[in-house]
Amino acid sequence: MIKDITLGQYFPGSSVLHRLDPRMKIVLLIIYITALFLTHSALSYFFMALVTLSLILLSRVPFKLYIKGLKPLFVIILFTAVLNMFYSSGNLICEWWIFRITDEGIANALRMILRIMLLVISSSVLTYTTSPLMLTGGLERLLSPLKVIKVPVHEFSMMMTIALRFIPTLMEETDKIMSAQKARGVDFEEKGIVKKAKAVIPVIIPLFVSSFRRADELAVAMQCRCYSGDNKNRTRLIQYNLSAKDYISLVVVCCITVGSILLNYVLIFGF
Amino acid sequence: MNIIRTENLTHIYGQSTPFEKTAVDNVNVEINEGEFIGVIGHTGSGKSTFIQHLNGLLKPTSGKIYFKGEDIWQKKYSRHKLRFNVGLVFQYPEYQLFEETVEKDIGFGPHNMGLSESEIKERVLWAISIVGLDESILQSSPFDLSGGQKRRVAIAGILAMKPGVLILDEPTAGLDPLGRDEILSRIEAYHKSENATVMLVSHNMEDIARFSDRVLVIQNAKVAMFDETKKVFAHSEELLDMGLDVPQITGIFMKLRKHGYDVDTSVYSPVGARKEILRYMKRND
Ligand SMILES: Nc1ncnc2c1ncn2[C@@H]1O[C@H](COP(=O)(O)OP(=O)(O)OP(=O)(O)O)[C@@H](O)[C@H]1O
Ligand SMILES: [Mg+2]
Repeated sequence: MIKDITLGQYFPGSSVLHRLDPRMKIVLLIIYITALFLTHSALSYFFMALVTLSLILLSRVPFKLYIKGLKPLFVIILFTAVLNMFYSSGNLICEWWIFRITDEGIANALRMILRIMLLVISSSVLTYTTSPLMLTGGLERLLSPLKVIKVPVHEFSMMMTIALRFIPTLMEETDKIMSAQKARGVDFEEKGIVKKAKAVIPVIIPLFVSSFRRADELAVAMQCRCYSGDNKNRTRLIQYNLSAKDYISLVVVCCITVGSILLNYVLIFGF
Repeated sequence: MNIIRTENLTHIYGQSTPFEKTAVDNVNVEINEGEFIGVIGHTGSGKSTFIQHLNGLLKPTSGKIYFKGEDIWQKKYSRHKLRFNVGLVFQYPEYQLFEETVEKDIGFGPHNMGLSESEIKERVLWAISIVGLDESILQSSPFDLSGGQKRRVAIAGILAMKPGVLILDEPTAGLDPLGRDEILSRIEAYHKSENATVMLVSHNMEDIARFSDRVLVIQNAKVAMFDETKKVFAHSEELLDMGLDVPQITGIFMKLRKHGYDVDTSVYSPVGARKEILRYMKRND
């Protein structure tokens, strides 16, 4: 049940996308998202959808995991689409009370649906193919120029690493505590809000207690290994080096961006 | 009559992901009413996963579990009620404590059963005496106790439900030797007086040898052996090959045999050892 949450989950593998440098992957995602926001024409959207599809195939992550990631966003996507549909000018198609549906409106709604879906999928490609540790490590190094103006980049990324690291642990622990309380006769399937809320207490309290204990232990363990925050003398276990495939992927993504912008000028039936 | 029976029980964690892991593989066992069963197997062999199926906490990937002849996953079967009959003490159960006082925490299970206040009180006192804690502890917070005391409170929390089948997952790991003996002896007393069925998961072969009628050996998610204690420890060599220990006395008799004394190596208790030595000496007089 709790294990169904897929957002930000890593899916181990050895595809090309898994092996790219995490810094490059973050930069590429930013370029890619920019391209998505510049996309306007139908043909251009079609092109971007194709590109995203090939990214999914390249990542070698099961297709249904991407679908699972989209599911929770279904309502939001629909809501934005409907809003866009009504607040547009253009040729009137039908009108009812205060609602006016125009061709432009429908086109806008479709654009919005596609845009959000592609956005979520391409971000998922990054999180599925990059381990949390690599992700925060890459982010830290990308942001490290900010250290000059005294932004605590290292501390920030350490916090993020720890948080990401402990999400699965917390879920596992929740599962375990829930099982232990079920064994003592708590019924989590019972109906009624009051009963449901009551059933939560025996889970939340042990979870809090153990989280605080865990945080404490982690802090002590880090101190025992002489962790002292950002330290100039500190070296890294994994050194990131850009290789040919990173540069090639950069060129490819830039070409895609230019391509999608150019395709904006090729209109089909005016869209 | 058997009280619990499993049929081709299989459990796969994270099916169709790279983390896929078969933790229980096609297990068929029958457990009779009033038996004391020891469960052994090396770390990660699937013992905890297996026992969590017996009170319906985990749903099998395939296969069936019967409690008193009824399939516990059939429609309309109340697994909620089943859990009062099959009490499960988890590995490191102290993490389940949450109430303000020890008394309330131990009474949590009986309270969920819908017992009256006086009955709950009576059971709490009974349970706490079994795990060897003092009544003065009842009003303190479970979070202020020592690790061993927490463990005892958690075990008492399950005992207070007086389950007909009691399953304990390494209940004594990390306790002092004296406390360990005390708790296990009291559990055996409970087993004898109430004719309760007990399953004890443990890495301590002395405990297994001392209390079990039958021993279930799990190896790589499969049942490697399931037989009377004597017969299982007669396969000492195989147990050692599985990376498991044998009782100290069995170890001594294996060494004796290696040194040319023709003794029976399935001995596992001091009483049995005495008998075997006397037999050997008489024969060689
Ligand atoms: N919640 C879970 N999700 C995924 N895999 C799990 C989960 N729980 C256990 N496993 C895996 O299943 C296998 C069996 O685990 P289990 O806890 O049943 O072993 P065990 O015999 O109880 O070991 P131990 O003696 O260390 O307690 C292990 O390889 C473990 O990694
Ligand atoms: Mg275990």
